[in-house]
Amino acid sequence: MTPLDRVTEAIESLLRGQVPQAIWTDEASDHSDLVRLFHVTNDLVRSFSEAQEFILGLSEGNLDVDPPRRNFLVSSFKQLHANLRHLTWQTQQVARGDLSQRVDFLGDFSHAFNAMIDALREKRLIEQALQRTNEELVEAHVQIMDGLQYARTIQTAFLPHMEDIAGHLANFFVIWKPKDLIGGDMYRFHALPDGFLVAVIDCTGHGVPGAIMTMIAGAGLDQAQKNVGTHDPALILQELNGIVKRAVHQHQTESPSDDGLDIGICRYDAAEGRVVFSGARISLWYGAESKVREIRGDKQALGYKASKLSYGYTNHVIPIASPTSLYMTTDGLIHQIGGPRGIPFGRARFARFLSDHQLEPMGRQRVLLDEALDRYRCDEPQVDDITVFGFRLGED
Amino acid sequence: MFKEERTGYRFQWSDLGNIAEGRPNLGPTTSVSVYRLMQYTLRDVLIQKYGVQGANEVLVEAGKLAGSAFCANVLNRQLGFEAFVAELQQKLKDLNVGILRIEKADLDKMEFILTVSEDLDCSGLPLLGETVCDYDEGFIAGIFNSYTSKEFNVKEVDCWASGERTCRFEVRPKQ
Repeated sequence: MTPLDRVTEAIESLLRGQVPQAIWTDEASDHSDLVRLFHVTNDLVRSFSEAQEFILGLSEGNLDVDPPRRNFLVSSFKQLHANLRHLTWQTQQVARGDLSQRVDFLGDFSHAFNAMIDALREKRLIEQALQRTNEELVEAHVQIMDGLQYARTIQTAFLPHMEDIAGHLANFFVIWKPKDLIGGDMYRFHALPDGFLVAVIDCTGHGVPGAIMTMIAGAGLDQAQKNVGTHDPALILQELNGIVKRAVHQHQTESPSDDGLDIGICRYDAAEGRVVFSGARISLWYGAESKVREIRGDKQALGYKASKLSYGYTNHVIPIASPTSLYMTTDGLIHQIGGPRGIPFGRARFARFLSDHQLEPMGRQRVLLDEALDRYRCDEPQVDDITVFGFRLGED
Repeated sequence: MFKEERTGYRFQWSDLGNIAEGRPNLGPTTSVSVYRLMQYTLRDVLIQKYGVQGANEVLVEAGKLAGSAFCANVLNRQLGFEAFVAELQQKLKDLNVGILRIEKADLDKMEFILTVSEDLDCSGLPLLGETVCDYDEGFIAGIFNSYTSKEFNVKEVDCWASGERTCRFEVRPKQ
């Protein structure tokens, strides 16, 4: 093989992507131009080998490989290598949250990277705005809850005190469970020279609107008793109907609201030994000896636009000749969903409970009824305000 | 003022003058070739008079002086590192000095590897196998010195003129 053949073979190897061995032959030593050709060819082979190793590392994503120095075969790859190292650093900065990074002069990659940064920056702004909104919502929620807690304090204070009731009723219980912190249910107890008057009231709605209606209803009931006296519950209901309609301007058809209440009133006359009951959509349940009976309230509720002022409610007289248990409940208990079939508690189930427990002390009945209701409701949410007033008479 | 004998450096940023007032028609920019014409002829004379080492030292020192003044008058030294680098990159790009990029940054050790592409001093020079950006070494050192109030050494390890296509500088605190 001639020296030129060796050079040609080496270059052909390079063109095939293979790195040949260094070339030499003693035949060239006498020819300075051949010696120079061999040196240059060997330099080319070495540069090619370095370049190949560097580019291979680059293609595998290995940026820790230092580019071969003074090797002009890979000049553009060195620039690519430097750019990739810089992009790696920038990407790490972005991952650390620095969204001020931008890539310039790298063609399509610049557009893509900068678009990604813009999207991340926008996302961060949205997240910050959401965070601010969330903080405002939390603050508003705290203020609302603080207001509701205070409103509950006021509503609770408006209810009769247990001690005041106990001064006139030896054996009674009250269950008062608003659906929310405050509600549209209430009960009233007025001690009278010859007995007492107890009312259970269920105003439209629950929560804040219901609570506002209870204030109107409670004050209206007081006014109705002043206007027509305390001996005729049906007349009190008729009077209260007019008071509530006028209070919320629902005696006029153009009134924007249409709110009202259901109510049951029991008037106990100790001298007569009887209870007079009148109800508007609230029943009286009573039990003497072992039988429990229900007296349904009248069908017209109070205060609504459709509630006729002329409607006459009905008085029902229950003689108290022997120990008698009496109960009034708002429909929240009757309508509470629960049980294995997910149906309302219902009147029949309530009647069965009263039948089973009406002879027990009222305090014990309260506990049992509370437990029965909780068991029945289980994981279902409370659907409405619940009020139950139970009392026993004729135990002297 | 510009030609007085001195024992200490007196350069101030105001020495650059009011270019807008002085060049109302030609404006504040010129060609890279004009800049290089001045630098490489100056380098030639410096080498002739003081040798290669001496010339290099003069260029590095001048670059350091320029870098400190540039940092103090053009950059916001109150910024955090990432924001400071971003501002420096933008200014160098705006002034057509070069495209500065970070390859590595160890903020604990304060060691950095920077690259400058399309460098004002060297991009496009013949590939002679040597690094030539001595002035830039000083310029970068001056900026870091002014920003951190610490002394830094900067060494150009790769250069267009050495065939590496981009200028690479290693920045380390002076021991």
